[in-house]
Amino acid sequence: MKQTKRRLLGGTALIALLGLFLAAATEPAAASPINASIRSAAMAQAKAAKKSGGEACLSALLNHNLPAVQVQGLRTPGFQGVVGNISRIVGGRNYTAADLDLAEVPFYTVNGPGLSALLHDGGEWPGTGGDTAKDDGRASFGTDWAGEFYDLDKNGHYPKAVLRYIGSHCYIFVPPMFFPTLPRGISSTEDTTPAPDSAWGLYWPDTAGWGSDMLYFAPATGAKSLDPRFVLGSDKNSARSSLKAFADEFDSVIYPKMREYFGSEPDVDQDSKVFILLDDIRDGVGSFRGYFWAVNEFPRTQIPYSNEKELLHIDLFPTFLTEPKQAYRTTAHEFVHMIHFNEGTQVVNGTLQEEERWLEEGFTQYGQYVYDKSHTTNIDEFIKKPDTILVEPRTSVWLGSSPFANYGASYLFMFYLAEKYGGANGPNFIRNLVRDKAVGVTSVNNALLGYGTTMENVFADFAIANFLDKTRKLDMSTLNDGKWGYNNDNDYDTTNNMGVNQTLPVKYSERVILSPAGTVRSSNVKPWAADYIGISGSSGNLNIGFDGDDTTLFKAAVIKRGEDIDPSVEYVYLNEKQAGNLIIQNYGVGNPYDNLVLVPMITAAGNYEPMNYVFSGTFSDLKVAVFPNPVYENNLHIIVRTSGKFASTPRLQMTYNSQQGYLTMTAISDSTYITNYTLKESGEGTVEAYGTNSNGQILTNTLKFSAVYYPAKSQGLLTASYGRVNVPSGALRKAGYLVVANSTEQHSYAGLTRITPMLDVALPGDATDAPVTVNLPLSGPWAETLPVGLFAASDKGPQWLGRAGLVGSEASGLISRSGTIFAAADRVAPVIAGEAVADANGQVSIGIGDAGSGVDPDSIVVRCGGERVMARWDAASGKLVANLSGRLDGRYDLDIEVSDRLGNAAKASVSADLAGVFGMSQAIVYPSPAKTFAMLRMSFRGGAAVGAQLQARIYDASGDDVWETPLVHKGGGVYEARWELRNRRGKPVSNGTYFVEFEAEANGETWTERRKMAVLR
Amino acid sequence: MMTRKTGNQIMNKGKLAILLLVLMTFPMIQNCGGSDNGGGTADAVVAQQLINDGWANVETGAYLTAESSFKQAIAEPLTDAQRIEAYNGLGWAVSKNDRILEAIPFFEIAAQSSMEAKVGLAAALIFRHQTTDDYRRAAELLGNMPPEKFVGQHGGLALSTAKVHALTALAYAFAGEPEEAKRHINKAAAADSMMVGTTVDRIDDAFRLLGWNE
Repeated sequence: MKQTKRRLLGGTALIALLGLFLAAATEPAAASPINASIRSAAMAQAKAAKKSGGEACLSALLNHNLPAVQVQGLRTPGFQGVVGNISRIVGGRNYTAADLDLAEVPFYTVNGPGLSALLHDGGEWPGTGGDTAKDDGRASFGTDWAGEFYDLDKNGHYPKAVLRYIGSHCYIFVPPMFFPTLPRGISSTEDTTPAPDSAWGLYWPDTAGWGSDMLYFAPATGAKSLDPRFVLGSDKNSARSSLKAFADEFDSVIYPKMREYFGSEPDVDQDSKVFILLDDIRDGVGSFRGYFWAVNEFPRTQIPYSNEKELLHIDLFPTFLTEPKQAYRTTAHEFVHMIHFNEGTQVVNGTLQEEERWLEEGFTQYGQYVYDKSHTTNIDEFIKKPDTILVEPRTSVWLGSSPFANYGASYLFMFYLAEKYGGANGPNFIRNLVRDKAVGVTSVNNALLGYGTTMENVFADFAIANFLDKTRKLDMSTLNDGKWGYNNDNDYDTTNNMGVNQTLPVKYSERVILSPAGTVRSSNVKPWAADYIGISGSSGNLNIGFDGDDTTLFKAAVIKRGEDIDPSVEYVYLNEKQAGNLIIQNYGVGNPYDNLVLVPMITAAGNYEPMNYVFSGTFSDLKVAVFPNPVYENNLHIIVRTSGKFASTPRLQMTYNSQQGYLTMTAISDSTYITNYTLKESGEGTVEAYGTNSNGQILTNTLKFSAVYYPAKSQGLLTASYGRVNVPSGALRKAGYLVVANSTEQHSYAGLTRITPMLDVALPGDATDAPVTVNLPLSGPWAETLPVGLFAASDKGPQWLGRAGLVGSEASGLISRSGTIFAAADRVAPVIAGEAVADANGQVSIGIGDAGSGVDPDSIVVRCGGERVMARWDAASGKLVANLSGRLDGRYDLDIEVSDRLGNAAKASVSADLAGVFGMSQAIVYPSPAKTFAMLRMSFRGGAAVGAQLQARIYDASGDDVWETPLVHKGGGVYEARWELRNRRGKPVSNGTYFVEFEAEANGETWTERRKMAVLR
Repeated sequence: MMTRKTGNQIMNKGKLAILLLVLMTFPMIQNCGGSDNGGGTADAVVAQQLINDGWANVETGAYLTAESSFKQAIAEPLTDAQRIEAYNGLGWAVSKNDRILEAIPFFEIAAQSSMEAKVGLAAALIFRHQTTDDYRRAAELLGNMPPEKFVGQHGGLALSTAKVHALTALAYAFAGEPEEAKRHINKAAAADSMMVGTTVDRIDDAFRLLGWNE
């Protein structure tokens, strides 16, 4: 091959080849391990990022659909995650200073043009067509051997990359062509790296899309050039100095900070240092600054191109060369991906279950913020497009050409979560969220469990914060517990604004200037996203009407703003039809609240399509309500009301189940009218009200409603040779037929001995208001002491209905739903798994299997050292979860007693190893509203949970200090105090809203938590 | 495998004998000859049996039969307590049969000492909404009871403390006593189940829509 090349490079043949070399720079030089559609998506995303200024993440594309293979070492019984189980695939390297400039390591990358495969392997990678003797430059040191460095034979094989710097926690490898001296492995005299030849016409691939700024490797007439040998410095020392700066940043900042917030990286190679390959990622425009490729954590026996090491790919040009700070930020981002693969990924049935992309990219971008306290530019895209789905798990979006607003939404939400719920305990909060084995919204809800809130509520506050961005009132006291803004972005300093080139508030989706006649408009909003509709103009009591698509869950917040008043937020109260009204008293010009922002949002997943809504703003102030008489429930009352006076009797047009007519109204007062409607059937309707007030203003309103018709109660007995159903009074309130039939289905189930035939029972409406008795004939003689239950047959196995008794030749029990019913005996006790798995919060899981009547949650008793501990049954996972939080780390023996629903009991002793993470797990006030007293409770987990000092102070709504008390340790890391709803002078406090501020000091850390409660006697 | 089939689905199969029973017919079957106590029994015992039969029929939704029983009882010599009980039952049998206004005179008699009759009467007055006196009367009837002390005697009426509070709230709201109305609707909501869409829940929603409660 060398000889062939030598011949081609000489004479006229060279001219003919120039065109091919140029083509090679733009076409993939070798087949890529990632499929064509993903590569195409990546290239499109790179171009879009270049255009918009967004930050693209190649990891998201590369790690999509990881190979569905068993990961070695993950089949250990009781495996709970990747952490600590994926190591020891290959032996460690553990290079020392003696290996510097000498160690040459093969790397498989997708750094080639168009993200094709590019191998720094000296041709030795198995099965990829390389040839050791011809591709590493060693075989022939002729005049053209430098061609190997530049891959002139276009086979995608380059010499191996060389170890150029060793940090405390990293190795930095650089391909030979990007360093001024040769590695000693190739040249023991450290000759300089061969220069590129201008005649080859090679240019920096990323600059192909830069127009006239295109750079060549070597000087060419009229062309700009950048010699790859000198991109890190013109001599070895200056090049090394650049690498030292990189390694120092990784060792002293990136490595410790990312580990503090997110957890530990994996270790497949038993080498504690992370490999960093500084190479040119040739995406055509230079947008992709780096990547973590999870396949490198798999053994080569499973994925031949795995590098079998913890490896970060960082872009040398243009990123590291022109924006080293961006290269460091990217390293932080990719290192978080690596950590997340270890901490947040789990194996389900032998394959990896990945986190939803929106949450993982929230972590990685938040890692960038943790690194240098600056925001990603993706936040700007979200600010411009707030109607962007936050909970976006679809790969089609993340692999699409412009996911930058999604990235921005994910980042901003993670930032909000960390600031509002992490607080001073931020690293703990984030680490727990990363480690949670659930994914997506469930994972966030798990992290919020101790805060008495849910993703749905947090999202609503988040949506308001993105517009209002205020945490303090005019008097500098806290506004709404700081939830309507970002503390980071204080209102009086523009240097810390949320955003890079844009800044909060997010953009209006629409602005409405009201005339006195009001307005009615329609629009749509996506799931887990929000619209922002500015409302200004005119004045008066403004009636905001909202009606959203019935198939999803809307919230409609109204932000009230004025120049000299603190902002306030109210929600339009929406009925089950997602419709409702809100009256804003004294709105508009000349009033305190002179403008509003309506924020429609959806807090449910849906099908990712925008959902329609209609909103209106009128000053007509006509309220309409439809409801049943509380005693004669088949009679509806319809009330029409205005805050002023009606000039005449309002008119009411009603449509109910497609029938239409006018109803005559009677005055209750001059502002309120009433009429009745007697139901004959259940259904849905609409009332349209029209009226004129004493000022001559025309008032209108429309209300959709649904109504239930209650037929007279019935009772009776239905008998057939194959079964009886006895319906007591009050059990059925829906009209229809009750049908009993001998079932054609006669199945058996493991763990159950069926003792009767199956009976089909169909009830009106498929359910009863009270249980009905079913009697089934026994299929043989059975002892009356037999533990027997009633079950419903289903595709998922027998569904427990309740215990049954044996009376004579019948089995008898209660049901309250339709189904294929049978009675069966269960004589097999549950089986308790032999091992317990503890998580970092002290929750210990023990598997319990029962194939018959199922585990009876009420039978579970767990004792630790003779003391009963709290435990719950998680039916979905088939596990008992015992709460050992607050205990010191160590090994605990648990005595477990459990029965199935028919009383078959089992006992076992199981050991659990606790290695808890100290932290706060809960701060709550209950009950709320409180009537006679309130309990204040704060709890901690981990070994130091028993030594905390706690104090609680209570403030009223105006911020006045009402009462304070220390909290007493009740065991298990739980601290409590009881408030008798009295102030410091012992007098009962008045009804209203109060704030409880917990202050805790433990293990050298302090916590301050605030909770809202109400007193209502 | 069949899990949840509607009656029609099973009927269409026609595989096996199917027994259909319209539940409304049960009471008629049961009552054939059921209330014949024969002659010679003491009058008070006969009257009490008629009252008991009346309530049993209210329970099963046989309001016309119940009405007949109560009317027969009223025609018998009665103790004071039986008289109240008979008129209370008659009021409910008539009003539950969609003749609410006709029930008012019967409730008026029984409301002297029957909590259930007071509730039935107040609900009927609100339903009538003839004059503002109707609302004041309803508010007084219930406010003086008061709803906290209400104890239902007959399960078939499906009355509850929450519903009585809601009725009281309506009466006060219509009578122009907003603070009392608010107090009672909050008590109704607190006493009601956590279910969405119950009668009390819908009235609670209506109070918010109408601006009678925050």
